Amino acid sequence: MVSEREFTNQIESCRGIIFKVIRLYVRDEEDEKDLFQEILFQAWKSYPRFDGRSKFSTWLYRVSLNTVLTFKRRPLKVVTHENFESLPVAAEKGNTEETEALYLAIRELNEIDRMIVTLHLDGYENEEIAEISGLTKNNTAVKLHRIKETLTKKLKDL
Amino acid sequence: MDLQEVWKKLEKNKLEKPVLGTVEIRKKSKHPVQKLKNAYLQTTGFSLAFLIGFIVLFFMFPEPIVKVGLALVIVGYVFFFVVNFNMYRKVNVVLPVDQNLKSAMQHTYDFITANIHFQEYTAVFIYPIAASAGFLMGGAVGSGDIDGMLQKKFVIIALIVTAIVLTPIAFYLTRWLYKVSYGKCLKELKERIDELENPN
Repeated sequence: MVSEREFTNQIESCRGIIFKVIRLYVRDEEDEKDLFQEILFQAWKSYPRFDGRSKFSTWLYRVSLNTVLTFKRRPLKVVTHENFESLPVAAEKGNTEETEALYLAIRELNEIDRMIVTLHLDGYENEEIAEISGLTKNNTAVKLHRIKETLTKKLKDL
Repeated sequence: MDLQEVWKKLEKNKLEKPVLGTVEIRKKSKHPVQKLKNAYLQTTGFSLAFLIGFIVLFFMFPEPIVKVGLALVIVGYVFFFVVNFNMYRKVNVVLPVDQNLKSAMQHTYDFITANIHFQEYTAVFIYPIAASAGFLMGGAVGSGDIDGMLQKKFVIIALIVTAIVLTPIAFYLTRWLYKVSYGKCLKELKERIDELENPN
């Protein structure tokens, strides 16, 4: 039985995954805090069933996505290019137009497409994406192809 | 443009920036399933309090007809207490994270929907009993002669009408309250499940 201390140390090493998922789906500060705690709670409670067949980071990615997408969140405001300045990404120095555009384009996708493309961009194979999402491998490939086309078109238009 | 390259830059710049809060495990969840579990505990507590109140009243009122009415109410509330407490014990707030996202969402959706139906139908069962008991007690206190009061035809009609009117009101009020609380959450979950089931 792993101790709470050992578990939090393991989480610390992969906390970027939790932040990333939260940033992609949540825009409200209270929701961010609540979801961060909720993911930790769900991960801690489910950890005894973690069998080590996948990497801890993959497992945590799955816990984070499942938690965020089943959680009752506050309504999102519509993001437009005009209010891009208000987004946290804009405050970061060193962001290029390309990164800003990609961030916005991904945020404009629906939540399922957002999940699929971010998993892909993080280097997950179609088979793994299918396993995490519940889609078939073929549907994952078709969807991913369409999403990439949409993103590329959006980025070219800018 | 290579999306993967831009993504890596974006990740470094922004997405891994810490969210407020430290890695500290809290013992309580704020998930909708946990909120429903809390609601079961509250309902269990309230039904126990009412049950004790009705038992006290049972011994306070000497009129046999009121005792019969209260005995029915007590049986109803014992049932209400037991089913709510059982539901509270059964609710598992830990998501099936070992399963895929579609299963986790379906699990949450089914659980919330089943609980809303459960609450609606228990409202149908418990409200006529509670309304009739309230009517009988009010009559006993107000008239001081419940036996005489129940001899009057219009009192019996009023009792039936009270139960008939209050029951659907309670049913639809419960439905509306759950729609306000969980309607949007359920709609979004359904849309995401549909998207995964029929993606093309």
